[in-house]
Amino acid sequence: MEAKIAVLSVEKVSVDIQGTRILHEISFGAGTGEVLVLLGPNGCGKSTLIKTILGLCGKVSGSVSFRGRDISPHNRKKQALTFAYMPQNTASHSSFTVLETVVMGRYPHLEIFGAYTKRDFEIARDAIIRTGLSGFEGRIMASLSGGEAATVALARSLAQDTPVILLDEPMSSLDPGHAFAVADVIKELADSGKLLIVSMHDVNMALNHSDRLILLKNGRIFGDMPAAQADRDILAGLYGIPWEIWRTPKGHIAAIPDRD
Amino acid sequence: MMRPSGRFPLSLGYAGAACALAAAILCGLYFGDVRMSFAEMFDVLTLGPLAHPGEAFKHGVVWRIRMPRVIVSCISGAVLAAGGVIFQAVLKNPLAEPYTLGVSSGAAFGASCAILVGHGWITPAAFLGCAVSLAAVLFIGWRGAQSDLSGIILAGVIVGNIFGAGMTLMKAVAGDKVSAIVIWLMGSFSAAGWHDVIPLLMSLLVVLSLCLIYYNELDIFASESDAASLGINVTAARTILLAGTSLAVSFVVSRFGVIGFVGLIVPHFLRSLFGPAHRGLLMTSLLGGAALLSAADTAAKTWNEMPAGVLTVLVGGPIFCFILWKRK
Repeated sequence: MEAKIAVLSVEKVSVDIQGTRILHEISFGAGTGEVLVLLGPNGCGKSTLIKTILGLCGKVSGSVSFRGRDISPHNRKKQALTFAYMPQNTASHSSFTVLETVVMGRYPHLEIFGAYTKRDFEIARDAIIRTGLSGFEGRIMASLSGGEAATVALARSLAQDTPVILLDEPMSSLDPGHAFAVADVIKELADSGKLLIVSMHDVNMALNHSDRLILLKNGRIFGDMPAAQADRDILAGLYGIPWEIWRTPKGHIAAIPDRD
Repeated sequence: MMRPSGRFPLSLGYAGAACALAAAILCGLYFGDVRMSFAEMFDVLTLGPLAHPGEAFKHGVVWRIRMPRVIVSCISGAVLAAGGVIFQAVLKNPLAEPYTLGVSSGAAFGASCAILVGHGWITPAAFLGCAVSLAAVLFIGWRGAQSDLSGIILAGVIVGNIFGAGMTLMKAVAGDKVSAIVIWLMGSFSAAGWHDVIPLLMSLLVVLSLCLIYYNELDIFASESDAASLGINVTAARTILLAGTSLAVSFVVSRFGVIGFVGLIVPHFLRSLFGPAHRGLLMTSLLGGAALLSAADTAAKTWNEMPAGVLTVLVGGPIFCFILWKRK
């Protein structure tokens, strides 16, 4: 695994949407090879933070920089060569095939007037294999289940081949088996030196499959810590309900809400 | 690339559309009030447009009347069909067509005003109507959230209805000129001539340029992917595509009236056969639209010079229903 080098810096970012402040002076940094999970209750600003990093949400103040340079929301192509994004809603009714959809992740790499090359299709096929979608290449998107469509979106993010990958609730529509497969892909990507910023609602996945947690509550940072340091008091403060946490014999962390 | 079941190879699409276009052009040159054999027609064609042969009458029929009409109907069909593909992708709406931003209503209102006033400036007035309705729709539709497509579709519907009501008012006060308005609205190439070819070639050039520049972006729009995160300046691309296509279509509508269904039926038919990828879909639609409208015009002219717009809707409507019914 490569040594972690700080690459992404979010400095005092505040965001308003339709007159309501959604994010309040959010600051954090992140490095290569890191899996950083955004955790917090509904409406805490996880998706907004991801979109702000991508430049898809106009910020009121603050800055987002990559390798020391501000990311201009006006240079969309440069942004797309830096950040790949898997949105929360990945359902598709399109009649494109899985391979046609995944190769669209190569769009930022195209020259002007360019067409996708053999190499682009090779990269797309590789992303399909890595995400466990082998055999789905010719399937029409509209025929896929929600979980399969989400995995295609993940494969497209991989095909984009960027140093930073932002995933907005990538496991929300997946069964435990497929969710673990996605967690393995995330770890593999981090091991190859990419920075992954992942929003989640599954506390167990977050505790077991991340290097670091950024806890968001009411648009503010509630905590920023290694996953191993999150205890039941922190989770109780974050979600407003009591939690019980223990370790399994194999060293995994199990957390469940423990209400009377 | 792996081809999904139910899709035919694109090369077959190009070949089929090119053959259909060649057949439509030949039929357009052959059929008409003046009868001649195929041999005579080919003889006249090989002489070229500038010759002064002994059989000057038939030469004039082919080169001065039929040829410009065939060329104009082909270009119009190509522009309308490719325009339909572009609108359906950008607006992510299978029912979108090149008239969605209200250019047909604007043109109809402009033409109605010109017919009523009676100065003969029907085409410039119709084009002005197109331009005003397009500007109004873009101004109103983009004013709100620029990522919200419903805004521009609603603006198109509202502006179209306002111009439609204005046109109805014109018809109500037109008196004996109402028949001229109704005939214009039906859409026809009966008055087409060589002087129409250059403006239409310009509109074809606009649409062709948009097709060649933006086919990858259209794929991404149509695939429901997050276009902005893939590096597309979404607002700029949408505005250029919608405004450029609408302007190109305005050339057709303002000169020849409202010809419906070409922008709907050709893209849907070809998409169902050859898939949604826009590089192939746009090119086959250009050829297929040209073939369809040229064939429709030939059929219309041999059928008591019926307006081509009526025939495209009469034939296209049931075929479109069949495509929808067959779709799983």
